[in-house]
Formats: sequence, structure tokens, C-alpha cells
Amino acid sequence: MDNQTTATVAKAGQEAHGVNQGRVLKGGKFLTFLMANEKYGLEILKVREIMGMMDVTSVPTTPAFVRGVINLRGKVIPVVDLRLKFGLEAKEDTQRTCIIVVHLTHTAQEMTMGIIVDEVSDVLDIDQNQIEPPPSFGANIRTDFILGMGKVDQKVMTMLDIDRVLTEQEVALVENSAGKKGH
Amino acid sequence: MKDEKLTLHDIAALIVQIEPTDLADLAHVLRGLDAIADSSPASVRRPITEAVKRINQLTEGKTSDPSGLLIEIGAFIEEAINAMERSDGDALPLSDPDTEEVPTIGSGPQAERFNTLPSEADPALLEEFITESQDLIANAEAALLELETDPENAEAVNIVFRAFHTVKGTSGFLGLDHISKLAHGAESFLSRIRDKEIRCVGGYADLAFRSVDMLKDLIQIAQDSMGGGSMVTPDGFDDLMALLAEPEAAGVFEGVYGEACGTMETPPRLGDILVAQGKADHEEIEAVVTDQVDQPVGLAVVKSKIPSLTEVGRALRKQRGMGGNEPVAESSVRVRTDRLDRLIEMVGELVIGHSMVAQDETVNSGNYLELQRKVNHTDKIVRQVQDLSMSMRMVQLKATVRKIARLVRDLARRRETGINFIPLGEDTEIDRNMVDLINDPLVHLVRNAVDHGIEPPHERERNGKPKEGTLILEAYHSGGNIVVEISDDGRGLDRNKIIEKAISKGLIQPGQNMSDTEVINLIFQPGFSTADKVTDISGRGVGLDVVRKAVETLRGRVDVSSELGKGCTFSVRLPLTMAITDGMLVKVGSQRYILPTVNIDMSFRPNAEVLFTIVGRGEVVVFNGKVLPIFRLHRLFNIKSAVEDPTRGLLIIIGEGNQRCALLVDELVGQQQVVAKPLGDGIGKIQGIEGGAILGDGRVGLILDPQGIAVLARQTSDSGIPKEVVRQSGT
Repeated sequence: MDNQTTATVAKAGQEAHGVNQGRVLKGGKFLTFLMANEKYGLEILKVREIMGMMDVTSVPTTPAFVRGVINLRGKVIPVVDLRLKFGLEAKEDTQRTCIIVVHLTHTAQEMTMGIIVDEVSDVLDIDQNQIEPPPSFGANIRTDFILGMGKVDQKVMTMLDIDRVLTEQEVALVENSAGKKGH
Repeated sequence: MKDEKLTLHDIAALIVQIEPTDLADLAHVLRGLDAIADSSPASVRRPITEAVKRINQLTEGKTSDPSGLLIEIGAFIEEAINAMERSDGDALPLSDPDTEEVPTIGSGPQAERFNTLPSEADPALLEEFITESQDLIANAEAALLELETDPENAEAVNIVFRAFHTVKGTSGFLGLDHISKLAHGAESFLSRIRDKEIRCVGGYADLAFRSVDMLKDLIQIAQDSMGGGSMVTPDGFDDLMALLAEPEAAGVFEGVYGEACGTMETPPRLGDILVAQGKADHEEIEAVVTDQVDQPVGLAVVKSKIPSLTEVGRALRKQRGMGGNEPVAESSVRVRTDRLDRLIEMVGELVIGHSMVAQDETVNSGNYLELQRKVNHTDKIVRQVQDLSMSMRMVQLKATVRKIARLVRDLARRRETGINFIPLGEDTEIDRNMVDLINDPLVHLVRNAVDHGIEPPHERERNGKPKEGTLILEAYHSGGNIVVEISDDGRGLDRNKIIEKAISKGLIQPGQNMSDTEVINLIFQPGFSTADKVTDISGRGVGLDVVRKAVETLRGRVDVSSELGKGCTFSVRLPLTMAITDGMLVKVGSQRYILPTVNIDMSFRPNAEVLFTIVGRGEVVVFNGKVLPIFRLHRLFNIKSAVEDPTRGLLIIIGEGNQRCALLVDELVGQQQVVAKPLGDGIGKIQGIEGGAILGDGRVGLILDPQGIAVLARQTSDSGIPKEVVRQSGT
């Protein structure tokens, strides 16, 4: 019963805003992190682990936002700098800089990737009714990789659809804008 | 051999399943044997009498080992069957190439209903064939299901087609006639779909499904009879063959949904066979079978019914204690390769973790000798574990080569041309994963060489060649790759013929100016085949495109070198993926890379006298009297603070033939054995980088791909900065 209502609500939201046709966001546990003083959230089920910053081997001829590859217990995984990915200013790594290892499923293909964020804050329980559909800014700001906006303690945070943020097609799209900024 | 009477084959089948204590069945067998003995020549009667003697012992309970006695009885029955066959002349047609072309329709179905596995079939090969076929069938089914929703999906048609093609080939040389026949029929039918003559919908789709079902049954039967039991040809086999040969004649069309098929008996599953043998629970099987008749052949049947039936059959066999006849002796355990990979990764981690401990200051300070000794001891164990885990994945190419040798022999026999098969380097070790994957392409290439490459004997004699063709299969490690070369001394590739063919197939336009490489590339196009006629051996145009695809998915490549009239060499070059690479650690600026040692010809610090520039830009070095281009790794990869002056850096000569060049790096750091790993799906394939590897300090080092670097360097503009970011999507 409860599920049904939430689904309908979310569906209505989608139709109203015409975005995020991919998934229905339910409440649950979210890992929150900071980047450029903005708060973001990730579904906790996507997160495999959180590591402090470590040596990253840079890989030539890749876009700037690909920081390189790391050794995750014998497995080589790519690491993406989320700041550059979103076209934000690059920033020196600090003690608080973290790599969040996420596990994605993209067109039946599973992959593990690391994302570099400024700072991991905490894990929050967020209810369905605390989540609003992403606002529409028109063509200038893309919102299709945002699952919704979470409201916690009078603050707003962006819930990321990390699959879409990191998967290939999306990479290509963001690549262009990031590239323009970079060069 | 009348229907109502038991035949020797029936009895053999019964014996396999019978319980030593089941007196009713034994009596049944006895009556059957008596009847046969009465009407048989002396050579058949003798083993039958022996069998009867033993059955009597069983029924009288005079034995301590009833199961052993049953096996003996089985042996005598088999002897009787053989004797019977000898006296009947060629009652059971064995592999006869002529019957491959047009399957005999409805003729002598009784005589052929039972068959034993060819005695010469190697159980190991057979087992492999069965596993392989089951995979292929699964793929074909999935593809067929996809075709139901999207009949235009050419790739799916190809998958089904290739499945039958591969099964046909292997079953042919294993002597599994029925399977080969079915596969051939299905292939002919599917080639019409592939050529867009008909569409895979309606009755045609049903027919395709039925073919897959039948193949599945046949494979299952072959598996069940591996212990020496008889092979039963399912009812409806001949009907299906007739349908496949001329679907239209039987009323199968695009629009007809399975009606024509419905008028005929549904092909029996294992259940029918079990019922026929009186061994299955009638009600249970019948309930399932009726279900099937009512349902259109589709997902439901394929996915849910048949496995359950198979399992019913197996379970029944097991329950009645007949499993003993199946080969159960397993000296090896099948382990999922991903688990093995994981294990090896973890062992790698263990090695690194251990070396960190071993290099710890405390251990090496000399104050704790006891601790040092313990660490050294662990060191040895860790090394052994590492070696062991590595060797778990490495296998010799021998099994594959042997399989191919067998294939060549059979192909040669069919063609009546003697072929010398020379295997070289069959002890070359290759990654376990690769063995499975390399097999199909090699089989295709060998078939291709025998069928298209080596000429018929009279033609060879006319050209002054020995009557016997020669086929060389050579495997070796080179340039960090595993290379398998298949060379024949046949007619070689005929440029004009290829072009002609490509034009007739619509692959190219007439009058196109093409380089030799481009022409050779044409033979890798789907649907291309220079063979004039379709034969059982090869030549429907599947083959080379499949080979290339298979090899490319392994990030390898296929090269062809050919001389008209002299012969042709296909070389399959595969990267090592998991194989250990001997690497040289090189430093460029702040970065370190691994260059596979096999790729390094020479490294030296050049004098200013051997360095020149061409039109002020292109740099060259004179090395051993040869002029080689210099590529600066730091420019290619955009690395800052690297050594700019070649006389202060190091030049490494890499590449072969006209790809030879000198690579400028800062310095060599040292040698290291590494395990190549993919860079992760998110990053895809990067030009010039073969993969990553975990270095001794736990960091990731990138393994350079010299060939890719040479290509990258040549694509790069004069400034040395890549024109655009080269990225390919990951697989």
C-alpha cells in the first residue's frame, strides 16, 4: 500500500517535471558528501567503500575528469574527479578528500569506479516525503542525472543518479562542457 | 527386428537401467534374448547364451555382486550386437559423407532409431563437445527468442546459424551422425533466413525452435549414453529433417503459426523416451507432454519444460541406481573462472602485503633475528602459493592442438587428400580462459585452410607440388603476445578472385582501387566466401568474420600473409590478459610505465652524432645503419617535467618491421614481473596502453602497448600532441 502511494507520487512528480524518467526514487539511506560547499547524496546501496585519498596513476589521453586508476585490492579501477566532471573548479587534495567506490550497473554491465569528492559527511535516513523532484532550470543546467532534491534540516542536497553521472554516454556529454572549461 | 519384439538394442537399453532384483524385467529380457537367439546365426547366439547364463545366475540369487554381473551381461549383449551387425552387413550406416547432403526422408527409421556412440570417440572430446554444444544451444535459444520480437535482427540469425555450424563441424568428426545431419539441415534452412529469402516468423520460427529442441534432445541423449548405453533417435527426427529440407512442401510459411508442426507428432523429449522404455512415471511425463502440445513453441516451453524433463530423466536414472554407468571419475573440479581470477588477485595482494611486511624496518633492523627468520619462512610459502595460483590458470596448448590434429585427419580423409599436419610449440602455455576462446577461431582457420587453401591432389601435382598438402600449426610467445600461426602450402589468396567475389556479393564497387591489405581484409567480411560450392567442411561464409570477431573481443588480431600459389599463413595474435608479463619499468617525468621486455629490442643513450631531424620536425636516429623515427613518450602522453634532450634520456627500440621506432624515455628503473589487468570497464580501451598492473608498492602501473604507441605516434600532429583525445568505448 505504502509502496504504491509513493510510486504514484513519484510518477506524478516525474510527469509534472518531465525529467528523470529512468528511476523512481524511494526513501532510504543515503551517503552524503560535500563538494564546493554543496551537499550531495548517493544511495547507500551503490556505495562499496570509502577510502582516503591515495596515489592515483594517471592514464594518458583520457579526459581531464578521469584522474586515473587505483589498485583496489588487486583490481584496477578508474577514478573520476567529480568536481571536474561537473565542471567545477579543480581543487588541491586535502586530508579530507576521499574516494568513494561505487558499483554501477549499466546496460547489464557491472562496473566498479571511484569518485573523488571533497569530503564525506555522513549517512542519513531520508524519507520519501523529504525528497522533491529536481527543479527545472531550462536548457542551461542539466538535471537528468539528479534523482531528486533532499530536504534535511532546512538544507537542500542533490541526490545523484550516479549510474547516469558516470556511464559512458553521460561521460561523453559532460566531456564536452568540461573540455570547454578546461581549455 | 520387428516392432513388437525386443531388439538387442532394446535389451541393451534395458540392461543399463534394470535393477538386479527386478525379476519381472529380467524375465522380460530373457524372453527377448531367447527369441533373438532362435533367429540368429551362431556368432550372435554364443554371446547371447553367455548373457542368458548370467541372467539366470542373477534370478537365482547365486551371486555376491549383482551389479558387476549386470555389467558383464551388458558386455555380452554388446558383443551380440556387434556380431549381429557384422552378419547383417552394413545394417547401421556409419559416417558416410554422401548421406550428409540430403537426409533420407522417412526411410528405415526403425533401423536407425538406435545407435551406439561411435566406439572411437574420445570420451574427453565428447564431453567437451557436449558442454560446448549446450552453451551454443543456450545462446541460439536466446537469439531465437530475440528474433521473435525482432525478426530483422541479423546478428541474432547469425548466432543461431553459427551455433548449428559449429555443432555440425564437431559432431561430424566425432561421428555423431544424427546430430551432424540435423545441424546440416538446420543450417541449410537458416541460411535462407540469413540470406533474407525468408523471415524468421510464424511457422519458420517454430521450425527453428524445433530444430534447437531436437538438437538439445540429441545432445542430451548423447550425454546419457556416454556410459556405453544406446542412443535413441527421437521420434519425429525424420519428420523434422523432411520439414527442414522443404518447409513449404509441408505447409510451413511465415504466416502459419505452428499448424503444420502441430499436425505432426511433437518431437519426443526425454520423457517420451523414458516412457517408451517403460522407465518413467507415465502420468507425470504425460502430463508434461500434453502441456507442451497445447503451447506454442516459445519461451515457456524452452525455458521451463525441457530442463525439468531432462532432470526428471536424470533423477529417475539416479533414483534407480543406474548412475553407475555414467563416467563419474573426475580428477578435476570445475571452478568458475571468476572465482579463480579473484583468488589470483587476492594472492597477488598477499604477495604485495607480505613484501611490505618483509621490507619493514623492524624486520630488517637485525635486532630481531627470530622475526626475520619467520618472515623469510612465510616468504617462501607465499611464493609457492603465488606460483601455484598462477599455474592454475596456465595450461599447455596440447589439448587444443590434439583436437585440431584429429580434425585435420578427419577432414583429410573426407577430401581424400593426404595432409601433413605439423604441430609446433604445443607446449606453449596459455591462459586457461584463452584456451576455450582460442579454440573456435583455430578450428575455423584450420577448416578454412583445408577446404579453401590446400588444393585437390591432381591440381597440386599439376603445379609441381607434393600430392600431400602440409598444414603447420605453430604456437609461440612473441611481443608479449601468444601467437598461433596456421600455415598451409596451398594456393594462397587470389587477389583477383577475392575482388571478383566481393563485387558479386556487393561488398565493394567495381573499379575501386584497393591496396593488398584492403583486399585481404575483405575476406573477413560477414558473408564472404571464395569457395564455389557449399560443402560439409566449410564454406558458407561463416568462418573468417567469426574468427576475426572472436579474436578481436580478446583484444587480439588476425594477420594474413599469402603468396599466390605458394600458400597462406593466418596468424592469430592474442594479448596475454592474465599471463605473466616480463616487464621493464621505465620512468617518464613523474610517471612510471611497464614496457613488456619481449617488445624491447635494445635501449641506449644516443650521441648527438646519430640524431637528425627531417624538415626541421621529424626526429630520427641512426641505429645499426637503419634510420628509425624517434617518438617522445612524454609528448604522446602529455607528461610534464620529463627529459627533453635525447642525449640525456634513453632510446628504446621497439616494434617489428616497418613499425620499428625509437621511444624516448627518461630512464629504466628495473625489471619486474607483472600480471596484466584491464583498466576497468569505465575507462575503455586506450590507445598505446595495454592494461594495468599492480606494482611492488601497491600502486598501479600502466603497461605500454608498443604497437599502439607506434600507431598513436603516427596519428599525432607534428607538435606531438594528440589531435584529439582517442577514446574507444569499453566493451
